[in-house]
Amino acid sequence: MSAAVSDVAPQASTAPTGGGVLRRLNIVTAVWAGSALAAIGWFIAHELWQDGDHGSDQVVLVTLICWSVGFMVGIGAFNGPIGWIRGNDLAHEDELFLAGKDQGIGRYFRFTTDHKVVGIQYLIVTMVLFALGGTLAMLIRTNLISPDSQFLSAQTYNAIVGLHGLIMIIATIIMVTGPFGNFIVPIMIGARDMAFPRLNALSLWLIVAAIPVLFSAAFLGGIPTGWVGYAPLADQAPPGMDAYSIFILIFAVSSAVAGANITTTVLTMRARGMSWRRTPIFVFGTVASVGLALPAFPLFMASQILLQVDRTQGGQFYVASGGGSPWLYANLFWLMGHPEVYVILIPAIAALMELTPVFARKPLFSFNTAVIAIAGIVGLSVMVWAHHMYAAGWAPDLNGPFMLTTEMISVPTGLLFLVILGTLWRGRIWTTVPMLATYAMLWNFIIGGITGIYLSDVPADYALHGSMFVTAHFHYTLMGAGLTGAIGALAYWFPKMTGRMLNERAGYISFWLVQIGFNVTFIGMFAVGLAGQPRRVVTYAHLFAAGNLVSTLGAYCIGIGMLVLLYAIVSSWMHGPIAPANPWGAKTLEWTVPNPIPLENFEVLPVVTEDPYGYGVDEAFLTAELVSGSAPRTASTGSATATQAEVAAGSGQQVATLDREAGQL
Amino acid sequence: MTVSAHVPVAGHPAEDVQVVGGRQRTGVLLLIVADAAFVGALVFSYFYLRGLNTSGAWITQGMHTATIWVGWLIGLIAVASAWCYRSGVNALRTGKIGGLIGGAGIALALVLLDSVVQIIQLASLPFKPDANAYASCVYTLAGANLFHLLLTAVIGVGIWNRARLGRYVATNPWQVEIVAIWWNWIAVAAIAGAVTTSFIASPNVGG
Repeated sequence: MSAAVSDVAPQASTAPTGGGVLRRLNIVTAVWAGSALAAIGWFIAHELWQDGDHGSDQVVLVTLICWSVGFMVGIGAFNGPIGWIRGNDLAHEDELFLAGKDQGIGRYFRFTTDHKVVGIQYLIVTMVLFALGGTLAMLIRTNLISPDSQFLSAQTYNAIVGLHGLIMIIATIIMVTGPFGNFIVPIMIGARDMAFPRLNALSLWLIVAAIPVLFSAAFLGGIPTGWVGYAPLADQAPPGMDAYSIFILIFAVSSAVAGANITTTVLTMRARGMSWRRTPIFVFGTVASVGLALPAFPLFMASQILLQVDRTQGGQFYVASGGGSPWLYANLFWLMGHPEVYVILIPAIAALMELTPVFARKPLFSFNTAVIAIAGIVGLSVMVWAHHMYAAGWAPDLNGPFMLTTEMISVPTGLLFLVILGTLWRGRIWTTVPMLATYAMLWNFIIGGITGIYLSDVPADYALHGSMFVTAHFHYTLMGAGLTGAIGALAYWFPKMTGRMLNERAGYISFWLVQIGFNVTFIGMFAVGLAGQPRRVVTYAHLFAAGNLVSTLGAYCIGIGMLVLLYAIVSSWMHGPIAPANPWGAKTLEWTVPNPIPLENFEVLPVVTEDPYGYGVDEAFLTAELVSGSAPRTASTGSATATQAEVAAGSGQQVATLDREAGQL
Repeated sequence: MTVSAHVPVAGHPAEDVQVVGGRQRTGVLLLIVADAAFVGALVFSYFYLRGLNTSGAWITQGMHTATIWVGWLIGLIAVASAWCYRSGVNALRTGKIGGLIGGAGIALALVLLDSVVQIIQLASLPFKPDANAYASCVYTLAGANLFHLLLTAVIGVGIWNRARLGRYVATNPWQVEIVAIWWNWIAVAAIAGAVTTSFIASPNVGG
């Protein structure tokens, strides 16, 4: 598997001498240190508290915290802070080592600070999470293939539903801002790295440390609450709930660190001349997402700390008889939970808005509207949380205002649709896998969005709350729009991230399998939900059998499509055709750097003099004529090699070259 | 997007300290926003449960509550600590490195003292966290404040040691100034905790 980042092969003559003890630390030492500290923590906690009222929860809590701390010690996350306290600043050689210079593939298993390495690490982590969460989805749908399948026991089913939900939510939260926010955004704005490279590595490795914590829940009685972890059920759940809490605590710290880092990078490190008007829309989407997460996830973290006080100290936060209230949990959770939907959606749609002008060969339609719409969604998203609580009976007098704010959020969301449709309008579309993702998102998100308006309506929500209709709705938004956008982004930036072209045939096959399977699955789910099937149930009335069978067959189709996508990614990464520097003829800065990308991205820092979507009509026509809807073909232009689209979209000098060569093409 | 060169790649001259410092300040301010959201959630939880007084059990009848002045003492020590640290920063600006060492050292000592007071308060509260919602809230707010204080102590040790080793100069006071922002924030958070726990009885008498 080759990487698009330079310095793949170790070179003894230029190998840096810095790094100190970090040279000996990697994921293996992290696992060892985590396991050792977890064992020590378990032993001490077991001796001290096992016989207490909350002994098992206290033991699990201490063990999992010790694992996480030990893992981070073992990966080298604390070396920097300890060195700083001791007054030791990093030497240039140390920084080069931390950046992964000349370390080959080993740098992907270390506390490496290069944003490109962190981006690839995030991509792998995201894919692993989707694979695990997707496998659980297949188990859920297999169980629901018929009312009497009894494929899973009720307890196992409950645990799997909760685990599937949480894994998928976390994966979708990081699926765009993790891989592409880290790999692409710094280059896109003309920076040499993130503002805080060590915090960048920290955010990634915190998630890696947290994943075993989450999966330990499966062996600790599961998460029987669904991914929302509602109290007071969470107070009474088995110790798997402790794993849930610790996972959320770690993830909240990781997202805060990543959010501060990406936001600071964009605010303070844009290239000279990159005014906000010249900043690509994907950058806006990324900052909006992490900026929204920054104050939102600490609320989720707080809700879990209160839960742990309840579970390990007998606290009364969520216990009504002790003066607490489950509504407190619901408020804290949904104050995070609804902004979180837009934390997922905004960067995915922004990625599609970024790539649509490239393949329509037209400027992004009404850039200002896109920015205003993103700002509007961010602003309104913090004022809609209680629409999740209509049926809970909390503050009925506020149902009306929350219905209004929820319906209002469809206005800026609709503006994003108009921006994409306006960009496509009369464009000469170059139909590629990334472009197909745009079409699919428009289709899916229309369905997800309109059903969301139904659910925002209080009377309709009373009828549909807790039904499969809701499950279908949020899958249409988070998967149909969010995940589709992320796949489009992957297909679009794959050549830059890996240095190779994605297998287009496999990409098309995967796309159609996933999209057809997706719509079959969740339209079936809408039908049974409307008919009254509740969600999160291990069995159901025979009345719903046909719809569930259809949904399960659709889910298998999605599963096969995802396996094809996985094959496309792995095979292309290993053996795909070498990608030119700018295979799509795009105009943003990431396409101006060579493959493999140098360690510090730019040989010279760029100065931006134009907006990123300056695709003229004539140029679009020229490009469309040249590429004629096919995959990029390589054309020789003098001594240089470039794709046709690359040449067409390039500078004046490059266009002039094309004019000379056009006759030969 | 047209690009052209303006910085020679050879050697990549170090960025201006003002640029780097401003960037680091932005990052710390954003992290404080996240921490403020967390503290805000705890304060919200206190007032929310106090206002609800579910089952009339916010405070059990006849129970001893936390002594209010201890929370204020902890808050005032945190403020004094932040003030001492700020004095050290001001001394560095005028080139007096000894002033920074002294200011940061006293600030560190005060934070450690504050941590001890906080631990004593936690150990001597006349109730356990499982008594009722009020008790759970007081323990959690105090625990969060203790975490803040200990984290600040670790940072303070670093600043004091680095100042002692001559790592800071008047022309580049950014790092110590950024830590001052954090120091001020933990003082604000401690005062917020004291204000919150000063409101004990629920206004919702009926429960």
